Amino acid sequence: MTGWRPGWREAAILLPLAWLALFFLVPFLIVLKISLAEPILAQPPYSPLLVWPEGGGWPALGARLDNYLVVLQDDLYVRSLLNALRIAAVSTVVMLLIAYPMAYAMARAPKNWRPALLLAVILPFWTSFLIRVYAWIGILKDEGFLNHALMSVGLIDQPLVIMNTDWAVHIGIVYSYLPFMILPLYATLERLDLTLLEAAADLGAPPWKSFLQVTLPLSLPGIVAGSLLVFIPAVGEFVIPDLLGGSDTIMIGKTVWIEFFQNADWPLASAIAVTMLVVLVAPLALLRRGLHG
Amino acid sequence: MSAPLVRLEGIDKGFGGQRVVDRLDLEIGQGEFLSLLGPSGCGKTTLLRMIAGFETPDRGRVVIDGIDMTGVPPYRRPVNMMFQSYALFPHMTVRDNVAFGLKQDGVDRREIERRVREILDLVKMGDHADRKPAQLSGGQRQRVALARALVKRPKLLLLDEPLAALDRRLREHTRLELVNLQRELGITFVIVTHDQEEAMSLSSRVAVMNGGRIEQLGPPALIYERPASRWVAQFVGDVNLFAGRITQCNGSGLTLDTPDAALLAEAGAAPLATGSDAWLAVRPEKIELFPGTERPDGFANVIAGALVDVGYLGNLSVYRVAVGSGATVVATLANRRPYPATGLDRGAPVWLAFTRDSGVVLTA
Amino acid sequence: MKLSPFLLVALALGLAFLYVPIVLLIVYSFNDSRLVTVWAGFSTRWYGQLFSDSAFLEAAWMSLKVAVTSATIALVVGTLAAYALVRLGRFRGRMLMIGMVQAPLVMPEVITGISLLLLFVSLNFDRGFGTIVIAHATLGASYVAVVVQARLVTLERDIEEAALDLGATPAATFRQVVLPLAAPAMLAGWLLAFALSLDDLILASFVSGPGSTTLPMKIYSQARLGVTPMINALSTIVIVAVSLMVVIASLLAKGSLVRGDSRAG
Repeated sequence: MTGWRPGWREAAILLPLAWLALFFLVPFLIVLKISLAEPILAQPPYSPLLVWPEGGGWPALGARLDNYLVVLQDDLYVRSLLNALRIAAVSTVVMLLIAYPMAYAMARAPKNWRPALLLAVILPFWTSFLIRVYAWIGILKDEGFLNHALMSVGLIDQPLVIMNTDWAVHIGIVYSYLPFMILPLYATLERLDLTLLEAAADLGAPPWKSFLQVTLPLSLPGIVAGSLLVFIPAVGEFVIPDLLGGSDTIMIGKTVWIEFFQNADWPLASAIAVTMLVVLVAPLALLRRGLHG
Repeated sequence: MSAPLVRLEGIDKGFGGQRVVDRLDLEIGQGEFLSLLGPSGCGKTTLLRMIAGFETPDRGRVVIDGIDMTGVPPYRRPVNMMFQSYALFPHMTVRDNVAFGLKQDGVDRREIERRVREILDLVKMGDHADRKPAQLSGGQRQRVALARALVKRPKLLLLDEPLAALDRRLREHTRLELVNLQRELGITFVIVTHDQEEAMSLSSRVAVMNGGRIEQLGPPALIYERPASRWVAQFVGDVNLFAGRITQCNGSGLTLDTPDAALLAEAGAAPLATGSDAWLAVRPEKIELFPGTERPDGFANVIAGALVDVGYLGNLSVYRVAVGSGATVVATLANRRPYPATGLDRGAPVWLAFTRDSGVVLTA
Repeated sequence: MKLSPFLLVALALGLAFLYVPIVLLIVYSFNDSRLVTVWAGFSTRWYGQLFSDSAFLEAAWMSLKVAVTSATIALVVGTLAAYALVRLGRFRGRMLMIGMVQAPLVMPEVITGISLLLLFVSLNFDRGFGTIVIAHATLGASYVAVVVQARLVTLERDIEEAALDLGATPAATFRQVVLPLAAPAMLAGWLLAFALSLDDLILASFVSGPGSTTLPMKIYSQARLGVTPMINALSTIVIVAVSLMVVIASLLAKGSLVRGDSRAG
């Protein structure tokens, strides 16, 4: 449909394009730029990318890879990245194990239950993330609800130290991101044609076999989407390791925060952020492909 | 025909390098009921959408009522369309759906009310004005869609497969209503359909389309009785094609030499060169079938064969007959006597016979 | 259909896992004791204290203002983006727009936060209410776009063409046909953006300035010091308010479906 009055069409395209470009894309380029600068004691606290010589002429390029060398050589940053990837990966697998039976049960529940079950899963996702993480402090700390409960039934007689450990971080991530894992799984399982299972049974497959050979492969898109949907933001998580983890729980998101706010080293923080993004590019691309294929 | 209402001049339209409408010319007269008939992908819907203004031709002009409408958007054309899906606004009542177009034109509120009531009564939907589309049956939605497109009194109403979503019984009933409505209102109707029966029973003229071109344009009977090409003959109804060579062609008639027999036919207006290849197209219901071994008299064309099988359709039976050349000829006979008829068993020898004016000689 | 005992137990345990922490939080906000894990009788004293703490009230007011403003901007930007992506065919920048709509949804917020802050610093923006609104509106727009897009995809194009055919200009078609049909999705998108804004700590922490402390920033600074009954009380209010909003919104969306927004057949 071409040849119509332009204004309307252009507005619908340009306004969102301009907004997103200015406030999402351009900022990334700035991060990239500043990651190549060096920190200085000034406002803003980094050196300019282009150094204009006095009296005119071509500017000199002030770009330097020092920050990236620091990131790659300093054990702290490499470790915090690997740690974040490990914790996110373990949490993702645990979430998958919890979410799959839940999503399967929801998809097979009577039709009139499903909206309520769906709402029950979505509701925590809407309520404050921060508050839900905070709620676990009261449960996990040494004199918290969990230790109280376990000691009163006599399972343990010394309180378990969970708070301020990696255990607490895993629990926090699993808890906070679980709905994101359930929803895509539910979406694919709910669409699954039940006559396929009947056909499998008719052809002689026992239930466990038809699950492994029919249900599971067909729900693979949901598994991939859900896993990436929780893995990617979990890698950059800051609130959970900060509130539930200990001082030795270092994750890349927290490291960025500390470099930025406590050490005020903006160029280094930018370089860490860019590094994190580069690591996440592959899963991001995979997610995009999954959403379109 | 006075000045045509719609004139399409040299229309070209392609999508992604594929040409959908190919140098097409067409004139549509005032008050006509024209069908665009063709298989899917023949360009008929694209043509309709170009008249409505949803697509712009790559080349050529769309002239409506003497005014060049080629670049005019759909909302400024004196044309309305009834969509195949009906495209009723789901959030509006029947009344608001029908009033929508009048409101866009800023028609006085009382006038809108009057005209909406009038048109809803005309399509017998006056009692359902306050319902939402989701509360209507398929047939009722069809009527509302029709009313909505007609209420603006367009010069031209375009209908895209208007009956495709209805079940068979309702479709036949609605056909009659559509014809009556068109006569009553005197509005020019252009309908897109792939259903030849629909095109035949509705329209005053049929344009048979294929590959973005109009293969033949004319009244339904002419299209059926005098198809212009083998393609039209085969697309509209069933046909037997006897391939052969013209051995004689003069004022008294034409002789086509085929492997089975020398067939006689009427000579057309333009003389055909002897020695050239041609086909004789004969509709199955125009062929008589005689059991037995005795050659029937009184027919210009008689071919011997053996009955292969019979399809019983209730009112009709379809007989497939193998002839000497190896081809199969189909003859359709009304079951005027109780079925099965005597002497028409499988494998039985039969005679196929038809008159000189039953066939049409085709060279394309 | 029947559920096997295993599935039923898995579902029940999973839901319990999701809800027990929230329920404990709510219950203990009514605890009389300062010790958050020891029950000492019912009391609403922490709510009283909360409502007399002007710093909390100010932060709450700030958060509410930010959330309403940013969700509204997100609604406009996100709806237009969804419309462009679904209805305007292939245009230059379409792939870019798809990428920019989807990326914020999964981007770690720390990265988005840093990059926005550096933008505001480069542009010499005064940081505060305005910059928080921009940050939240950008993230919210992505959510609105995804939700509205999902709805627009199910709307047949015929319906818009019918409006054009009946004489409505493209703008009138958008107003009278597309908007009403997309309204439930747009409402859902607005609420989502609103809730995200109300909830966000990281973006706000990066781009806020002096005097623009949002509620999550306030909660965070308290929570780092440990569990306090007052935060429990505040959390309870937030949870109840948001839950009510979500339930009402989902009922609204369902109601509009029943009234005939979905095309039968």
